[in-house]
Amino acid sequence: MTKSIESIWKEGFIENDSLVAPKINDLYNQKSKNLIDKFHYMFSINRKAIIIAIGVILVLSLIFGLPYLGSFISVLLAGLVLIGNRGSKQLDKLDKTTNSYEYLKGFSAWRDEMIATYCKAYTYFYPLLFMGLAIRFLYSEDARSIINAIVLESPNTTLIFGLPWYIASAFLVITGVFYNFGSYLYKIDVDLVYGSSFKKLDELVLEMESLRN
Amino acid sequence: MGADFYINKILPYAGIIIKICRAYTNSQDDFEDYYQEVCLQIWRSRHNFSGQSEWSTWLYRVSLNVCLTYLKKSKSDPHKFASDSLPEEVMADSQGFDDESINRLYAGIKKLSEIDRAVILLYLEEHSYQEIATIIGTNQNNIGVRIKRIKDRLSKILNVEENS
Repeated sequence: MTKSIESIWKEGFIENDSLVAPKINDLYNQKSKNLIDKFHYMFSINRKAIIIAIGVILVLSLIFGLPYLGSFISVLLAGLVLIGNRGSKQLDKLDKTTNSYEYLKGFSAWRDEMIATYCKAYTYFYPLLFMGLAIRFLYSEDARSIINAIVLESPNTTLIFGLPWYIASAFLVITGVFYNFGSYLYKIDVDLVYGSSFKKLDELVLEMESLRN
Repeated sequence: MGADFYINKILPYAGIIIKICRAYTNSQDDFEDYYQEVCLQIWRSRHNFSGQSEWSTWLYRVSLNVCLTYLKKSKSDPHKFASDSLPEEVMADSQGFDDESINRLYAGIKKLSEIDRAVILLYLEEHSYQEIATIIGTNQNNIGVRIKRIKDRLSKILNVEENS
C-alpha cells in the first residue's frame, strides 16, 4: 500500500540524524545574498560613488575654470543621492519577519515606487545634463569663434539665441530625445540587471494574491 | 555574543531551517548558502521578535521569506531566483537526506510552485490552517483547498515515480 505523504514525512524525520546543520563560517560577518539586502548594498555603493563623483567634478571644474558647470552637474547628481537616501530609508522599514505576503508585497511596492521616482528623475537628469554641457560648449570662446565664422560665411542664416537655426534645432532635438528616453534608458538598465528577479517576485505576489482571494 | 545566539537560539531549531532550505535548493552548495543566509537574517532580525508568536513560528516565517527572496548564485545568470529551473544533472545532487522516501517526497515538493512548497512544508510540520495562513499572509479558508490540491499533485508525482 502506498504511504501517505504525511506518514512519509513523519517517519522520515523520526530520527533527526539526517538533520545535521551544515558548518557555517564567520556567520555574522557574511555578506547577504538576499534580494532586498542586495538593493540596500547597491543603493549604498551608488550613493557613495555619486558623492565621490560630485567632489571630483567640483574640484576639476574649479581647476579648469568651469565653476558654474561643475556646480550645476553637482546639484543634478545631489538630487540622485537624495532619492537614493529616501529609498534606502524606506527599504529599512521592510520587515523580513512579517508574513510572506506583506514582505513580498511591501518590497514589490517599494520597487515600483523607486522605479517610478527614478524614471521621473532621469526624465529631467539626462536632458538637463546635456543642456548644461551643450550650453557651456556652445557659448565658449572656441565655439563662438566657429559659429561666428559660419555666420560670416552664410550671413542669411537664421539665428536662434545667437546660434544658427540648425545648431539650435539639433540642440532642441537632442534635449527632447533625452527627455523622452531618459526613463526608458533607466528601465532598460534595471531590467537587464534585475529583470528575472523582478519577474519572479511578480509571479510570487500574484500567486499569493490568488491564494488570498 | 554572536556565537551564543547561534548555539542557543538557532541550532536547536536547525531542523526547521534545514527542511525549508532543502525544499528551495537543488544542490548541497546551494543548500549550505541558503542555510547560512537564513541564519544570518534571523540574527539580523532578532530584535524584531516581539514574542507574540512562538520562536519556532517566527523562524518559519523568516526562513520562508529569506528563501523566497534569495538571489541564486549561478555563473550563467547571477540574478536568478531559487526556483529557476536547473538541469537534471544538477537535480541529481539534491539527495539530501538518508531516508529515500523523504528524498523522493522532496523531489516532488520541488516540482511545486514556491508558494505551494511553503504551504505544504508548514502543513507537514503540523501547523494549523490558521497558523499557515498567518505565516504566509493569506486567507485561512483557501489553505485547506490548496493543501488538498497540493497533496493530490504530490501523490500523483510520487505514484508515477514509484510505478516507473
